Amino acid sequence: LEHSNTQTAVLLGVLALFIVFNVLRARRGKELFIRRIPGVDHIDEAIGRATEMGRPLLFSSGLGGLDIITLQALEIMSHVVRHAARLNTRVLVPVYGGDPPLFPVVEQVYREAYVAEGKPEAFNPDDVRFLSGDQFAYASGVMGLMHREKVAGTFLFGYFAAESLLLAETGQQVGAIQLAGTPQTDQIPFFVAACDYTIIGEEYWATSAYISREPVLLGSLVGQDWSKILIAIIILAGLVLALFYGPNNWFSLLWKI
Amino acid sequence: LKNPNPYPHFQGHHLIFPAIIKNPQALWLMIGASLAFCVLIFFLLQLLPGRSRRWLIIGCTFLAGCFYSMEFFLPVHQLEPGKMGNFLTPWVEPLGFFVMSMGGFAIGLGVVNLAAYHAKAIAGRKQGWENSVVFFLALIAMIVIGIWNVHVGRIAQQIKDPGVLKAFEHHTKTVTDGYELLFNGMLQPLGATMFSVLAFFIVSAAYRAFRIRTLEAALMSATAFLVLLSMVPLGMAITSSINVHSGYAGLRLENLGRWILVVINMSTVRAINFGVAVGGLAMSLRVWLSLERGAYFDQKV
Repeated sequence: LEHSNTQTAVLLGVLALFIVFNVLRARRGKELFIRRIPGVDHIDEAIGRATEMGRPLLFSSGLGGLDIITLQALEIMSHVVRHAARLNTRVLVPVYGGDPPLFPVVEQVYREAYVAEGKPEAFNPDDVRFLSGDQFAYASGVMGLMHREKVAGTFLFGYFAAESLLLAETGQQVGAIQLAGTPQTDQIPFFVAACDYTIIGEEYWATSAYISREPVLLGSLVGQDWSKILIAIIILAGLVLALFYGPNNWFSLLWKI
Repeated sequence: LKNPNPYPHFQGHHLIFPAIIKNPQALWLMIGASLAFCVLIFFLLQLLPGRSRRWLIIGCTFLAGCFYSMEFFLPVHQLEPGKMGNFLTPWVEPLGFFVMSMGGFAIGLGVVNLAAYHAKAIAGRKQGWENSVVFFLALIAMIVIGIWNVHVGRIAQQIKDPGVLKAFEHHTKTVTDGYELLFNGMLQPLGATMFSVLAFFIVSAAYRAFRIRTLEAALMSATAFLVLLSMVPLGMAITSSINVHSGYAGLRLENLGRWILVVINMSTVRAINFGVAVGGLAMSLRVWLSLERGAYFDQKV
């Protein structure tokens, strides 16, 4: 779909309205409830474990460029780095070189996390590493980093393709506690098989809201829930209409019997 | 035409970019204007105080988002045979090139980061510093051979005389052979090797995933076994006695496997995709309308 039609425009408009309305509601101080996301609870556990072992953590945002999937991963990375900085634990961030503008953005978010914790002097530029723009060269770079630095925990959040299992299995080999999340449904089974905790599908977008409790993010999450309820209603209505009024509908077939 | 052009005064603007490409003066003008724009934004970002800088970034983000939203939502008409769009569509490609060229500046930062890290490793004789030497050798070899090969290729394209071309190719054989060796003889097989490692990792991951420890794991193992069996000749042979035209044909293993994939699996994947799409929409809106607080520009670092 290169351009919208009327139905798409109306639906997207309503969904956008839901999200913006709830963001504004949350900004005005409305208390919003979001359910527990089990995998996310273990982010702090992984950081604590790495601190106890005196080993670094690794955060990979995969093969994504500077897009919304990676921006979401950077929000999660910011939380991880801030918490790790508080405990004086290093976080290694290998950056995919396929989209060069990503590198300075990642470095800036990383640096800001240290500044926010009041430890700008602890920021080590070598911990944010620019790696290859080739998929498997990037994967081998990250795998080498995991082995050499003997990481205690890995966070795989972002856009992943065939290298997802290479990274997750290497994390298993070095005995790291692993958390992964991606909106790529094709890669979720690999993460489920190889990681300790996997954040599935839409939970990926909810992670930053859950960990930061930022009103804007909470409001946006509630707006998403409203949107999904509306989509479910549309699907159900379509199903009922197809059953009763569609070609070869269930209702007429029943009468034929 | 079903949908007449709602913007008659913009007719023909879809040819604007090819026209610029064909006109060297216009091309240089566009490059100059892009550079001037980048320099202006750079100095504004440096000079403005934090609050104003924030508003500048919000404004630029909003305008860029507006462009793509309007291009998607505004009514379309036929721009040229087989191409539908509105008056903004012709500008999508040039804007994409503009963003790409801005991205080109950032590659230098990445190379500087890598070079600094490996230079420090060599200078400090850190463990594995030999690998850093290999990095510099590989980087220089790839850059030199890569650029040289492109240059040689361009010259070869301009040579019309077959005899001259043959002689030219003979003289530049070292470059093309070097390129073949580095890219097709080394880089690609190395990538393929990494990919092939995946086969072994799948086995070890599958072993862990299919260990039956809970009811859910047992259900997943049973389903996976059924689907795997339905895809191999042995599985199909097991239920081959069921007539394909009978009412029980659905119980044939290949049909059962397909049903699991197309009905149960597909509906779940689509449900997840709906959630992902709505989440993506929310994230895009937050970025476009700069609703995020503290993200990237709130604090001066």
